[in-house]
Amino acid sequence: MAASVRRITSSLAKYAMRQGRFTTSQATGIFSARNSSSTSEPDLHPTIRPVSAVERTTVSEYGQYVAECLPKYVQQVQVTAGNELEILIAPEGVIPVLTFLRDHINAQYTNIADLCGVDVPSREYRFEVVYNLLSVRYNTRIRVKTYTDELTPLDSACEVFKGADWYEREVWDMFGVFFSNHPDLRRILTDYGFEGHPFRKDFPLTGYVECRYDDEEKRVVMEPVELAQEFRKFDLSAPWEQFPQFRGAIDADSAAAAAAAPPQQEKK
Amino acid sequence: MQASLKLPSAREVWFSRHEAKKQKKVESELAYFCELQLHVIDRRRQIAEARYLSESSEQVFGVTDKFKTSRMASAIKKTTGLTGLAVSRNPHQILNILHAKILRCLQKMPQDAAYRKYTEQIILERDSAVKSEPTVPGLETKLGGGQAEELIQQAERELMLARKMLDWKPWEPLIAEAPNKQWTWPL
Repeated sequence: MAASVRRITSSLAKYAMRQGRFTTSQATGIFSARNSSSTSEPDLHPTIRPVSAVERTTVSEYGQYVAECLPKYVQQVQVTAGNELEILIAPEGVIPVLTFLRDHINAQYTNIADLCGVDVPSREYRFEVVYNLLSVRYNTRIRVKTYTDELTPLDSACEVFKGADWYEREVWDMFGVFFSNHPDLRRILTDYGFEGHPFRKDFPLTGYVECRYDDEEKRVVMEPVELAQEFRKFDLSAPWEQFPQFRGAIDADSAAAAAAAPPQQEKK
Repeated sequence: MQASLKLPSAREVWFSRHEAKKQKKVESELAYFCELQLHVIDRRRQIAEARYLSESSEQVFGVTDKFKTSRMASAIKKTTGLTGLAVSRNPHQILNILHAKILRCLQKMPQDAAYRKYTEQIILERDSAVKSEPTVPGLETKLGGGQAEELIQQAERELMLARKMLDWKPWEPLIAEAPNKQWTWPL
């Protein structure tokens, strides 16, 4: 059965977590608070998706399996709060890891569901490239993440998944991440001759240019953008507390942030 | 001045019209004949394609059944139900060959490589199932990994992967540690 193949991964339970590289990141206090109270009382939140501990252990064991098969490239494995598996890899390992996930009998993630980028400007390698894969045979999904900066190229996934073609064009157009060995890397969503990469965090919402039809020149002209109203920033804090269930958590978070900041200032 | 206009005689007119008609008839016949030839070529191509698709699994691996014995009609299924995946006439033979190739390829990897260990485990399990189950439906239900043709596909892919793994050597230690705070979230 497919189950018998997956049962192989349960034998991994005897393999200890390797060098602390494997973390299960619980998202926020929401889920841990609910888990502790749901065992004794009847379920008061039927519309919230139930947490499955069995699924979580299966998913995390499979993540360990992948990390063990590819120790050269897998930097970290994590399971999100919704039991979604994420493999964080080094950029040199894009092709090997994706080929393994597509071809290995115990993986068979033959479908690339999504390929997107994330911009986190505060990091040294600001762009994250995220591959979402689907296995039709085992009905599971997996996420593979790499990183790069503005200038370092990534290997194109087109030789592994033909469907990655336009997705990579979009990432190039919107973020400026270059993919080597891509069959046809050019802009896909922006206008011809558009300058800039719109999804970067430092690109403004309005953009830099606007276009209008000029009657004298009898054509559409591009001009620097002028807004009728100046930019307004709203302060959304209210005098009443917003999250009465998480008073302790929010105070603890802010206290931790305050405690972390002064020691750094003292060091400086 | 004499008029240099020479009118054709009735006989000449009739003759030229007759020639034109003959030419047109010949041309139309030629066109029909060419059309027929193209149709015949198309039909032959279709038949050859169908034959190739049904024999593709044999041709790809160079395994030819020289002794084409009469097979029981009920033993071979008519279709896989999947577009582009032709029914294979000897899946056991092909699977045996593929599994042997994969195991030979895995022998070249270091003994402690996790990929080698788990893949050997999977392939040996499949190999024992193929050797123990002589019928195709029995094999499919025993392994539970899809139809026999899909099992062949999976074995092909695993073989390609194993060969690439020999070049990539993923069992080596981590090639590049993540930069500081690369994966921290929230920031």
